[in-house]
Amino acid sequence: MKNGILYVFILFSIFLLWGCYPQGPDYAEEMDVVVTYHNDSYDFVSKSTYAMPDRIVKITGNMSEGDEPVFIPDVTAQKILTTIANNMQDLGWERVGVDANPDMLLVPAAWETTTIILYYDYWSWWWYDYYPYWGYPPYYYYGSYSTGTLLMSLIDPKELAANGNPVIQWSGAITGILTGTYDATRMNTAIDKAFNQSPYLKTN
Amino acid sequence: MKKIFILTLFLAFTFSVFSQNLTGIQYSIGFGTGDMREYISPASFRGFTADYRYLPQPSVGVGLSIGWHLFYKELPDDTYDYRDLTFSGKQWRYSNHFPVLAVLDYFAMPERKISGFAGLGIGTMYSVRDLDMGVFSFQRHAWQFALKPELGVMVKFAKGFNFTLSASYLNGFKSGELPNQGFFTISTGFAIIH
Repeated sequence: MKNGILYVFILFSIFLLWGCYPQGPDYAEEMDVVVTYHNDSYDFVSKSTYAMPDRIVKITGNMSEGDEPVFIPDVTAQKILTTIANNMQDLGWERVGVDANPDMLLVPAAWETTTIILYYDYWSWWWYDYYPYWGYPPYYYYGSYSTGTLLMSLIDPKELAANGNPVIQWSGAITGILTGTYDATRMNTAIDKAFNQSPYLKTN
Repeated sequence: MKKIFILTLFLAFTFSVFSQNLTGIQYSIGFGTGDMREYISPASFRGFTADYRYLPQPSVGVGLSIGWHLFYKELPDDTYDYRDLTFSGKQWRYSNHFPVLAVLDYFAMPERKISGFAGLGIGTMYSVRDLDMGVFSFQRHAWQFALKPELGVMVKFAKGFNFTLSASYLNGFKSGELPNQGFFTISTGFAIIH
């Protein structure tokens, strides 16, 4: 009898604890995460110019060489590109045309997928044909996402990997903000955060 | 040899005459120290311990203690570095601890209505540290060698039924992916002696 009472209490306690196990986010914006990567050995300080397209390609995951890329709506793209440009300017970078021999290329892209583990596509060179003999090398990005993502990548057009692929020197990924209605405040905050947590991008 | 044989017989007789069992449960509040406190500073209000003791004599208990302690904290905006990546956003931090200990207790004045006890637990603790940010989750875990000294009082309120109140320090020593994990606990519950 005594043991029976105790076992009931033990079971009750376990259920009680399990029941009040804290759960995760309550609101969509709490899912926003900014992830940045940079190449430690790359000298950003000595660079000063960059080129950036005026549209943002939308990764569909099934693009093949020669296919026409898909873009996110211009209204949204312009707001995003303006915020990116402002941040680059604050860090001392000068935006130039793609034909002005820029030190770096800033390539924004967006996607809405459930999961991307190893991404392999030709999207990153859709616009850049300054060195046409490069053609369209495959490009990959490693990550796992279940919501909308904006990816900004800085590439040095003069530095290629041994296999001829471009090498990412810096990237900033913002997850969870391209779904649903466009929220400029959330978007700007997230983009600002990506650059704020990358002080090594500051040039002379 | 003869003395040992006689002593063994005496102890066996004594234990068979006086032996009882104690079974108890306790609710625990935890206060992290060191690295634990640095990771999650607020106290834990989610702690639970189940105990069993064999009492060969009224003043001695030998047995097992198992538990679950959860520490939790939300940070509205913070950064986390993982390899060459920096993550920033809202963080949910969890630290779960599951001790499994062999325990030796000494009960002072067990015949009285209120008796004190002191114990030492030794065994292992499985610790899991989670950090969630959006769709990202980082986990570190380890089986740790654990020690748990404890002091407490037991109050009889009916035949065989007792309230318990105790304070202890549970320490899991550095192991695997985790540094030393230690926290004080204040526990209350009840125990049945049968």
